[in-house]
Amino acid sequence: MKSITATCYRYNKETDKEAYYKTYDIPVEENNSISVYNVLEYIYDNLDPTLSFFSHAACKQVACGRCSVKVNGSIVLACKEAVTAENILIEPVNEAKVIKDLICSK
Amino acid sequence: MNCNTNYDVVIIGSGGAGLRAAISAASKNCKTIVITRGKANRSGATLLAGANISADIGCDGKSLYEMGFKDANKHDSKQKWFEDLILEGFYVNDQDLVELFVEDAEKRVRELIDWGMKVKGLEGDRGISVEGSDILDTLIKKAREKGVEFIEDTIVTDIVVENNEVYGVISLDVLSGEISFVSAKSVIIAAGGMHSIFPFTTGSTDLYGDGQAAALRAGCELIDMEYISFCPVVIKHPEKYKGNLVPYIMHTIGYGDILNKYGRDFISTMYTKEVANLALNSEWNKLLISYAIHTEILKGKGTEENGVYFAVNNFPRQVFDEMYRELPALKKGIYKELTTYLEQGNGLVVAPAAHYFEGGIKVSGKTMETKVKGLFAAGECTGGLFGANRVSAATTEMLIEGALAGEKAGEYAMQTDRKAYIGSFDKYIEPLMKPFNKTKGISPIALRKQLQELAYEGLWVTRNEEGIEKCLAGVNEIMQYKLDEVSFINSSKVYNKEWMEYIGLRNMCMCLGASAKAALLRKESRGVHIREDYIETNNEKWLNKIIIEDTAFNHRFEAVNLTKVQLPDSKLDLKDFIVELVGKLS
Ligand SMILES: Cc1cc2nc3c(=O)[nH]c(=O)nc-3n(C[C@H](O)[C@H](O)[C@H](O)COP(=O)(O)OP(=O)(O)OC[C@H]3O[C@@H](n4cnc5c(N)ncnc54)[C@H](O)[C@@H]3O)c2cc1C
Repeated sequence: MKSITATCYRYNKETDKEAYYKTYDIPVEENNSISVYNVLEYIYDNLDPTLSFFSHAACKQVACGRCSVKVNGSIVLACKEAVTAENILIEPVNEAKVIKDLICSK
Repeated sequence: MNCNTNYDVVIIGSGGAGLRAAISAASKNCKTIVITRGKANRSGATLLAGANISADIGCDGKSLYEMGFKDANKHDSKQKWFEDLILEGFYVNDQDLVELFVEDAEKRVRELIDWGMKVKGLEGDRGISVEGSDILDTLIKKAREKGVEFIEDTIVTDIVVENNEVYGVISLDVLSGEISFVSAKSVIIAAGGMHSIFPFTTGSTDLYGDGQAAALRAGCELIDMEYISFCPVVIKHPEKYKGNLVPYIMHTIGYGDILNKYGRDFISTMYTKEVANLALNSEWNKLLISYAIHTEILKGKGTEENGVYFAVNNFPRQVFDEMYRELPALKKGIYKELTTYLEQGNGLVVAPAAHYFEGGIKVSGKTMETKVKGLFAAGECTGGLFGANRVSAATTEMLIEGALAGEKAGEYAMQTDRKAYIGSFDKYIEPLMKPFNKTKGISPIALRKQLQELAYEGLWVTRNEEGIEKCLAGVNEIMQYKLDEVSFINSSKVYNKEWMEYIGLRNMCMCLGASAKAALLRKESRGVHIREDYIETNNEKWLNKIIIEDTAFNHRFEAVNLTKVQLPDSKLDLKDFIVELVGKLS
């Protein structure tokens, strides 16, 4: 078992004066390969249900093109992007348009 | 709460059924709006049909030949197709719907081609090969031309009904957290399957059975809920590709092997030669391979992830080249990652995944109307067309049903003279808001995991009395005691995932409960409903339909309507009955 540290951008306009970053540890089995989407799912399911990321109509098969996030500064599809490094930084695609956490307005 | 403009027709969902319905309704000069959870042309199962490599749309061979597909079978006929569909459905199809299916498929294919959809070629004996995304793009272009309006990222939570008449829908905009009443003279439910009740599915994350559950709450009935199709060769591990059915497509064409944890074939040893041949080389592979894999896992011969292996032997090396020639898409994007993994000699862990729901909302095969006046349904959320087993194209189902539902809902909207809704909205809003008023309680995430576990234990590929009973009892317990105790950690209404989860849960309970009830009642094996404790298909006793009447899961039996096809009265082991059915196909 290895561990990945994901640092996520967080912002809730109702309660936060400004955005902040929160760090989560995700265990990954040695022979597994996971995507950024899997990391976000793991955080929501097991560590922090307040995290918002695109998931209400996601294909998870690189077909709908709607789960974009910024990973280490580059815009990627969360379901397509494999997680290989031990540390990743996950941010919204456009900070100026953030509605909550990783969700941006259209 | 917002009270939006009045519409003639509101359509819930924007897969192929919803979009095709919108075109018909708008063609009747109705003010039409589609409210959809996802992006209008990038959501639902339609997008993923054929893993977006090659989806089929069904049509009889003769019509295809007449459309200019010279390799199609010109000796085929609608009547032969009708008879085959009844055999494939184990004789329990709604024959009005089958009639509609074989009659209208041709029109639906012709118009899509006219509207610009690209056809890659023929697929199988009765179909053309297309891309799921192209079906959606073609339909949405036409719908926009007709003036159809769209609201995206919005979940319809309930249908407003009084005195058995429809008044509109309640919806939640997930981005703002705003709840609205959208008034309409008629409503069409086209919200797709209920994949999310299972922990492992091929579907996208917008398919919770919202339509079926809302219909039941509105006073409609559900039919054939015991029949659930599994796609047998779906990736379970590595996690990144979980839910992808590309190995199934590869295997259906003829590539690769399915092996147990010892690396051994088990399909040809479990079945007689005749049945194994059907499993490995016919369209009956969904049912037969799912059955074989689940049996192998139950014997303890699956991998630690509760799957089996899919591997493509790298000898001779040219096999891969041949496969890339046949399926060029496998050299691109995530499929390239997958085939590279296979080329390196790795096995993908695969297992049967919940894939298609034969059962759903009961409609009239002549109008697509439900029991509620002005409320229609179309596509995968309906039940009855394919009976106990779908072999033919579900894409055709969504198109033919969508077109008719749109037309009839439009006609209804134009002639109804019912007054505006003056009733209360409390009964719709209160249950939605309840968890926000609780400071401590049960997590909706924990409940979802529990519910999915119940589905996996009770309604997976092969079933038995004990498992189904436990599943039904578990669902009832959640509905009666636990749903009321749900609370959230997140108190914001803006993109609150716990809230969405809770809304989904209410609907998942309804659908899983209805399916478990029907599966428990049907004490035989028929089609994809495989009971290890009643392995016979018993035509003496069980040639009937199970209708779930209400949210308490009361039920009744209905006889199968007799038409041109002679009904059997045999009692045979499921596998032997399949051989008999296949022997009768045209
Ligand atoms: C991976 C995969 C591959 C398949 N391959 C094939 C194939 O090759 N051939 C074939 O014939 N069939 C195939 N099928 C089945 C077929 O794709 C579906 O049966 C068909 O597309 C269903 O169409 P639909 O319009 O009824 O529903 P969907 O396409 O599922 O659309 C449902 C719509 O409703 C929306 N929605 C859901 N809930 C709500 C709500 N509460 N409020 C508002 N909107 C809501 C969704 O966002 C979506 O827009 C496949 C299915 C899957 C999952």
